[in-house]
Amino acid sequence: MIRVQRNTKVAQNLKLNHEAGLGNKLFSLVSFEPAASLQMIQARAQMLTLIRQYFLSRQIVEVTTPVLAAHTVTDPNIESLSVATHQNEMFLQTSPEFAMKRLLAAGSGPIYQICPAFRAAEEGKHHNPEFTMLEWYRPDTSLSELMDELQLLMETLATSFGVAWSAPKRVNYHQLFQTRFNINPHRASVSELLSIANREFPQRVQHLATTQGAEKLDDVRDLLFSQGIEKTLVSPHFVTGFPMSQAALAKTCEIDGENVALRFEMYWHGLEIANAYDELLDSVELVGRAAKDNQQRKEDGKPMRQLDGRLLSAMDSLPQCAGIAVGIDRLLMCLTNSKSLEEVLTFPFSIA
Amino acid sequence: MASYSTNEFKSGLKVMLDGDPCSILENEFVKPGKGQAFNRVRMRNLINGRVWERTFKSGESLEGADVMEYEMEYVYSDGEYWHFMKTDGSYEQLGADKAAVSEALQWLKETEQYAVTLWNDNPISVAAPNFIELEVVDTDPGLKGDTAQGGTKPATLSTGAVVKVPLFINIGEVLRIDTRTAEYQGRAKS
Repeated sequence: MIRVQRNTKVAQNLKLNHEAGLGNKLFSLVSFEPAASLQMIQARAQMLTLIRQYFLSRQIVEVTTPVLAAHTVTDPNIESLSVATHQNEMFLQTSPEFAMKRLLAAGSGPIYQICPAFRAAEEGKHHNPEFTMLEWYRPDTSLSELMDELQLLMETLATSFGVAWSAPKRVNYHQLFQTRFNINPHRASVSELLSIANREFPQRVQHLATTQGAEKLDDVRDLLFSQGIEKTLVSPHFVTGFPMSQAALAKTCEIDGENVALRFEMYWHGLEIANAYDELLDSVELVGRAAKDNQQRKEDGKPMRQLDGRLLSAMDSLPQCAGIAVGIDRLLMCLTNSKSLEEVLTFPFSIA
Repeated sequence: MASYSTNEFKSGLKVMLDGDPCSILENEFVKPGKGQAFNRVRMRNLINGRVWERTFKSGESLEGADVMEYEMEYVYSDGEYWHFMKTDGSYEQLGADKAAVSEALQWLKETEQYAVTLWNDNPISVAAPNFIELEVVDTDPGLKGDTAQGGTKPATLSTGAVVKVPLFINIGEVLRIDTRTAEYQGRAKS
């Protein structure tokens, strides 16, 4: 009853606004309610508590770094949101990676962070322009040791949530393509990969028409991987051996005669949940990759992104380390058998 | 007409593709690991009714289509065009060609209302109401008293449609028909 009266009052004020020529611009009457259920909000709190306990028990220190910073990633396929500040244009961070590497270079030792991350125009069933990232870095650690640490965290969470979990199957990118498409993704030409795409996914290749060169090679690989392989990775999997062109800030090396990135991804329920790197330490290589990224950005008509000078100067002091980013909104989907991000977010982008 | 980028492709949005107006049914955003994002889009071609599926680079845009749907009353046919009248008080009449009315052709009854889709003010499709009441103009004589048996026989309705009806139905009776399945639902309540 009180609510009815209050809404009537609001409606009268809206009418006054309207008559004053303000229209409904000051505010409008729409539902205030969250998308996530109250149980889901509690489930998220439970997940966060367990994660913090896990890192506390392993003496990994929680840190907080700026969400808004002067520089952002150069990656041609990640678009940052920029903010006009009182001084200059700054960027909402797409991951806390740069700031955390500055801490590692300063001798922080193992650190983790749970924070919001932002990516422009990424919105869908499994994407929200603002999402929550769990990211951690461990000096003197191999990717294999990091897999074990992740596996134990997942096991702890799954047990607490009462969902099935099995030790992730370790597979590589090459094997997955070989099994599914009978082709070597590292050696195959664009036209060989395209003919598979045209045969298997004739209604999903139109977006490839406009890309060219090296970018096209990765676009076709991505199409085959996302449409033919990803969805089959339902039980937990660690995927290694991604092509060198998809290294981002990971080291690269030659394994079994192929140039690959030293990184792994964890898939669960057909979703990419985590992405880990044996972190690049070479500042010359970093400058080279940033230049290549910007060349691609230029060709794609995207804004250029200056390499973060503070990250660059941290590189020489950065210890050998393995780092990993976990999309914990997606993780919460898996832990609660949810079908879309909307179910696990209080206020998804459309109602934020 | 405004153009719309892939992230504005919501279900129901009308856009132009390959020269035809289409209605978006579903839009899935795909962002593979390090790769370039794309959108998998399902849409209905409003001219031929077929469902298309194709991909777009994220951020690509399509021109909007000037498509409107109106409740309109069927008035008459001159043999080439089927004429409908707006029920919004304007009494404006528009002629739909055979391709546009084809789906609803066997359910066209004067003074009945239909959902008419207009593209640039031309009718491109006509949808019949889900249920319609039509008179039987021809059928074999009814079998009196035999109402329990499950047998059926064909009956021709006033619009020319032929539907299966129970054996006890007679010429002159008004029946309720489900236009989606062309099934007899019962006698119309008078």
